[in-house]
Amino acid sequence: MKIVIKMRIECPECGAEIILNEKPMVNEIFECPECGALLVVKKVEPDIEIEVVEEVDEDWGE
Amino acid sequence: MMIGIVVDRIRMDEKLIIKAAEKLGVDLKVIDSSDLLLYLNNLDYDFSGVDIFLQRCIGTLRGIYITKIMEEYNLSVINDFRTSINCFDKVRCTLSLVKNNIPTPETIVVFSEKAGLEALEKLGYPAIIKPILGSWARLVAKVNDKDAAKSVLEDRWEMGVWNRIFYIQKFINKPNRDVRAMVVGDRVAAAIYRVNESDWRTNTARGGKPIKCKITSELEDLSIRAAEAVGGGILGVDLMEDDDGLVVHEVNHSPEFKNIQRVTGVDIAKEIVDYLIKKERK
Repeated sequence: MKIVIKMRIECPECGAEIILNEKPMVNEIFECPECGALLVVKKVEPDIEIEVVEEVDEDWGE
Repeated sequence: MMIGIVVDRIRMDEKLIIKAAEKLGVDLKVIDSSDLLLYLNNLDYDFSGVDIFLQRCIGTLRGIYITKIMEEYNLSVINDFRTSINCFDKVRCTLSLVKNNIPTPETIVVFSEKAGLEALEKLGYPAIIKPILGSWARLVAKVNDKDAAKSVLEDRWEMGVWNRIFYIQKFINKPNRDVRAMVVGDRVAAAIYRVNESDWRTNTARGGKPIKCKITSELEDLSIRAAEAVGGGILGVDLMEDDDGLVVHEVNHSPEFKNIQRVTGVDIAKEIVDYLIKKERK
């Protein structure tokens, strides 16, 4: 049986509780489901640290 | 074998690739571009064990330079520098398409407001003004008349040298959608329509909704030829439906595919890993 451990973090922008289904990776980006802020994972050990991505660089893209 | 995936941020797309490699039992090393010291006189970075690199930086310039330097180290990078630079620069991309007889909207490049207005008169209104570099439809403007065109050209002029090269394109009166074909190597893995009811720009970054698109022989042929025209690899080919058939307007060298994978059910991430394995064995 696979045990799924959910992790809870707090959005640094709006304070919403975000539930992660798996351990994130450093540099992973995702949107806060509450406020839509773009967040980036800065650290995963010993604790998960996330920051708001303040600016999308002008060469970001495909 | 081991794949090195070069990243600056990790989107859902990169996570899907990482998981696909894991599932296939392929070793994968995540290479954070911010950790790299790329010596130009000799290779002094430990890439030992990595057989092939997948360039997935979200910062386009960063990715292009890393690819160029790695190739000079005789490392194998997908997509390679030639393909990447041909897609990164819209002028090079259009020239590649035209030289290979791939239908693409009529385009004029100009370097002044005066020539811009002249080009727009020749193409007719409405027309599109795009920056030569950029993604996600940033600063892409549809101008309906001369007054609007003057304003856009003046604004762009004030935005610095890169924006003083004007890429002016005929407007294709397409339905409220375009097509994104995901090419992996020599085949179209999947395709979607990107439908936007509220904006003429259909990019998913602008709210375009992905819907599965049937891969017709025309779509397949044009997409593969467009991918080959820029140098081949793993590419997102954008097409529009014109009165006489499909036209290719862009080819993207680090395509996001999570939406294509989701709505078509095709495991694009697995196809990418399979392609890398195949390339490494060649």
